[in-house]
Amino acid sequence: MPGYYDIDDIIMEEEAVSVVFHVGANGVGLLDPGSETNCVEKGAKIDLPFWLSQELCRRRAVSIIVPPCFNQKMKKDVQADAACVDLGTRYPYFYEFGCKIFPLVGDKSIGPFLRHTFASRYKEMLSKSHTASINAIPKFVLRLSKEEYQMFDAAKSSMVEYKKWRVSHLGLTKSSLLGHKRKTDSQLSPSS
Amino acid sequence: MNTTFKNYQFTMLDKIYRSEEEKERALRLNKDRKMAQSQGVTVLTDAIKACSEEIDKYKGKLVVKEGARAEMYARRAAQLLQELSTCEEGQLPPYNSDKFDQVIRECEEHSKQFQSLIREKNSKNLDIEAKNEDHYGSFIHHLSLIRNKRCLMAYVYKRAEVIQSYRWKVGRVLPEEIHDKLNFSEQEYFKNHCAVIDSYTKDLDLDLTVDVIPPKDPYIRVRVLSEIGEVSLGDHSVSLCKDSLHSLRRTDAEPFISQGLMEEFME
Repeated sequence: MPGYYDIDDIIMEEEAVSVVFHVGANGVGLLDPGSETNCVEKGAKIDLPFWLSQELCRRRAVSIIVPPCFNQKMKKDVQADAACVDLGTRYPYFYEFGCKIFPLVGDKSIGPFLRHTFASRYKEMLSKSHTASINAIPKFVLRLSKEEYQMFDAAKSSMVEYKKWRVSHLGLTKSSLLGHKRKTDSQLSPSS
Repeated sequence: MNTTFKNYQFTMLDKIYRSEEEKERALRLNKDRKMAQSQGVTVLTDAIKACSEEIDKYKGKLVVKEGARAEMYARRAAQLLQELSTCEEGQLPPYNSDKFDQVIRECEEHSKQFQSLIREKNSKNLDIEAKNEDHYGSFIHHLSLIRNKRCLMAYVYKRAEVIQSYRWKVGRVLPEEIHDKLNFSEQEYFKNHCAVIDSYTKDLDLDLTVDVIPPKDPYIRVRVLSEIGEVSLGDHSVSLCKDSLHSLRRTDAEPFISQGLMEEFME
């Protein structure tokens, strides 16, 4: 559960979603660019930021239209090659957004879809994060969503720590078993 | 002879007749074409007229749409936070007082609208539970207020966190470039935070701000980078001139190093 002061959570809730108004609302004409008066009419279809649509949806004042990042085309893209889908620039908060919007739109397929997307992207992300060089930022990082990037970063730094640990333990004494070399025949009988 | 003449006459007549017919057909064609042309022109002009009418109809609104994008409720507050989040961890962008004030003004506007909508609703003498257009309008303003508040709080809170960390990382005196990024109350906050840590350290009789890992050597060789002057350290005083080398106790040298006045001297 993100905290009240969580900046990432706040920025994520700025994501726009299309909603349809079931009620009219006075004095908020700014929300609907097409309205002539200073109010939103019943049945108007508008893009609202998520924080507003969420509360309105809970009070059954609007209904949310499934956003384009969970539509059929996106699903096909993910099916084709999940690792190639560019989440970073288009939907930086793909998973968080999906988790939050899923109970509001009632589309049961979103949950499994998110899991599938994550699972198929996870393997490549992990192997790349372990082999990535420390200083350079590889290109594929730009495709990762914000959450994936945090994980990538964590995996990378754990790898750095591991390497440090290995170097610091090189001074250990070798096991005596490893030091023993079996004497060859020639050493046993040098005279022959 | 006669018959041949007659035949000739017939063929001539036939020719003439035919040419007449051709002429007529050509005329008719021409007429048709002209009609078609004039019809086509009218169709085209009609279409252009309809198009320009349609364009006129949406002209004003398209402009409004562009304007609305920047003006969406609480958008500015989110931009403030965006500034913070693009900054590297542990660093601060300059305090954006312009935008902060703009958000506060937006909040005042929301509050005004909210109250007027509530008044309007009350004047209609409805049941208190009834939900009409005024109710939802005021509700949206209310949500925007809460949202703006959350953004501003997060902005201040995050900055306060970073400012606190400066006491541990940078020391009691902030370098110029960091100091300029804070606004007045943040500077006060930093001073107060330092004072609290100092008094706690005094109570404990243990300096909490020194390095957690003990140094191998209690003394450190340093080179002075800028003129500091006479400084009394413990029981003796040292004159720290520029570019002079000293061997100081690590605890004495650390604050100078973190301020960038000295550097560790390595041979």
